[in-house]
Amino acid sequence: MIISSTAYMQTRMLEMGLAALMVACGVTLLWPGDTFASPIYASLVRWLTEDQGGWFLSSVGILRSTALVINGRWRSSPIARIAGCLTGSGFWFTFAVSVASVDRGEGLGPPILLAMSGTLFVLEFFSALRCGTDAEALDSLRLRQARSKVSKSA
Amino acid sequence: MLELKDIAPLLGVLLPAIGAIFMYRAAERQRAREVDKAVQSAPLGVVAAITDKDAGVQMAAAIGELADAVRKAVAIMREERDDQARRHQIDRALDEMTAVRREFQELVHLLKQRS
Repeated sequence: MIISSTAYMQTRMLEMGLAALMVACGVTLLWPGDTFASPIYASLVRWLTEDQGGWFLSSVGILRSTALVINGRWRSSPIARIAGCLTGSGFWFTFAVSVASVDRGEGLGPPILLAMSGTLFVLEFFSALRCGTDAEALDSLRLRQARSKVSKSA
Repeated sequence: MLELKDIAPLLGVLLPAIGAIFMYRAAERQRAREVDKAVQSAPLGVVAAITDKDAGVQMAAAIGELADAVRKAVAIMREERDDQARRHQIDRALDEMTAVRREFQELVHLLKQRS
């Protein structure tokens, strides 16, 4: 069972990892204490509070993992996956910009968090592209089905 | 003046969304090209034209029945062959029917793979 589950999830491992990271970030934000007090989150705080961010990230992460597990068995799952990727990329891009725009002391280079959040944004972007291809393959938007019905009735 | 941090969430969502739409359209165009190419050559053309899963299953069952009918006809002709003087014509007919049966089988195999 473990082997078959691993094989099933192999092609979606990147997205699964990103969803797990999303949940982990959500839980971290919900943890008691003020994470957003650090100046590195200054731009992020403009858009959402720590509690909102925590709940939002954990729920999207869990929904995204569920969509990944049932992917293929439910025709519209790539749409749910795209929504997850867009949420993730929105978060990581905003975070990267927030980290990049923080005031640094004289002679200090950019923090490693900038590289991490930038890379995570690129990975989310790549996953969204793959979801787009999967949505077409599964006909998630039902466009092919509609066209086939029209041609049958004509 | 508008700064990057003012539109960061919007950009972060919009860029991959545009990318996903682009990939969807690209995959659609590629599928259309493949279908066009497949339509040129039978039996793949028939398989490519079937986009509905149920239609594929029904088609596979119907062709399976046809293949069985051809198999029975071949068996009957083989029995007749021993009594006939015109063996050459019967041999040709048998060869053609066998080829048709193989095409049917190939079609069924492809349909089963797709559906």
